[in-house]
Amino acid sequence: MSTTTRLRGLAALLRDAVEHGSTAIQRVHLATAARPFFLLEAIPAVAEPAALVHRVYDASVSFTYDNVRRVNWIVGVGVGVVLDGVEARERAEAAAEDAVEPRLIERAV
Amino acid sequence: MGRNLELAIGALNGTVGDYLARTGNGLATSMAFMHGGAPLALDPAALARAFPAPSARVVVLVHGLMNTEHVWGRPDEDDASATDYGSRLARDLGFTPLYVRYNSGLPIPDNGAALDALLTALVAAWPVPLTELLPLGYSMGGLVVRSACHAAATADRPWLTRVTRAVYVGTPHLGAPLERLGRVVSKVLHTVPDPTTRLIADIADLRSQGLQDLGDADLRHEDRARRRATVSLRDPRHPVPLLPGIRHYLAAGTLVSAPWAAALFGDTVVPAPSATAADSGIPASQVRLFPGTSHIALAQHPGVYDQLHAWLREAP
Repeated sequence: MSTTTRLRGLAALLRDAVEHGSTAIQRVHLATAARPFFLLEAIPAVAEPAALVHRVYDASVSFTYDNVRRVNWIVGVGVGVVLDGVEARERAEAAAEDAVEPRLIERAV
Repeated sequence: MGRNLELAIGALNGTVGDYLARTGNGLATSMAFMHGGAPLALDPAALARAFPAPSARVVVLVHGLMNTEHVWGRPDEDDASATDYGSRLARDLGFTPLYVRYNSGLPIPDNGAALDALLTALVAAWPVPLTELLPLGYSMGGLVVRSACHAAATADRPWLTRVTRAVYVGTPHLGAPLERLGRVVSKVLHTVPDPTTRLIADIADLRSQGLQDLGDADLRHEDRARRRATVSLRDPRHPVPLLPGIRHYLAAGTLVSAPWAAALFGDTVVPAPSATAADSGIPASQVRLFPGTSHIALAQHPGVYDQLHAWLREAP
């Protein structure tokens, strides 16, 4: 297993952890906040504004977590591009070494 | 650094290795024999290069959950003074040691099938005719060995005819109560109608299938059905017996000598009745308890080696 393969694996694992982790925490966040809103929405005098605030709150929380996942995806793509470059350079260096060796052997002969 | 990195990747594989394999992650370990810190190609030329004087007797060492072959204490390079079980069996009894590395987070039946395939390839490529193949499994490794033997017996594999003896060190033949306890706790947490508690239960459920298989020592995929049917802390009656026709040797650790405490806590991970496959009919001469020895210590214990040597010095 090459170092680049492992780094790519580590990057993918961190990306998955942030993706699934943020989704799970968002679910908890929304469910926990829903409790007081549920109580307020049961009181007729404040039910309508409470429902409105609840919707705005949920939208802003979801927007924040969506941005976390968006940035995570962008960073993941960036790391992938860097690792592609490293791999391409390693391949080119290996190919150059392979090309040089026979010439050295020919000269020695 | 290299060894620590390999150990960290081994621990990661044991924790979420099934996920790594399922998602094609580069950190997932493929099963292989390791030699000099690298996977060994199973072709006659590569084997001849790696083992200039191959023996007709081979000991196959299979590590446990979240480990690598480093658990045996073997140095990466050949070292005449190495004191791990494989090196000492080579010096004292003429075995050639082969160290398996695998993804311990995969289901035990999958690793058993992979070991079956690996041993089939080994027997075909070994430079000299093999007269004895000795599996030596530590902890989960013993269950992987049993699963492989079961798969080989079902498919009538030639390598199984070379196995006349098998050694298990700290292997939970009747399962591991710690995992079964974790299963119960997770089930209870899932019933609590609170999002944070459910999140904790979901995180607990991320543990690998290999780890979950340890609970009841599931050797076949169909064995999992009984896990779904009942959640119990009691040792299960195992549906796959130790293969007849093979002499099984079992070494187990206990931190305390009192029988009740050994039955309850064993070596801190595996209780004594599970490690000694209680009620399976193994003669007492083939079972040895090591008081004052923890689960981890069993993999590199001079007393355990002395017992292995005493068991194995007789002709098979």
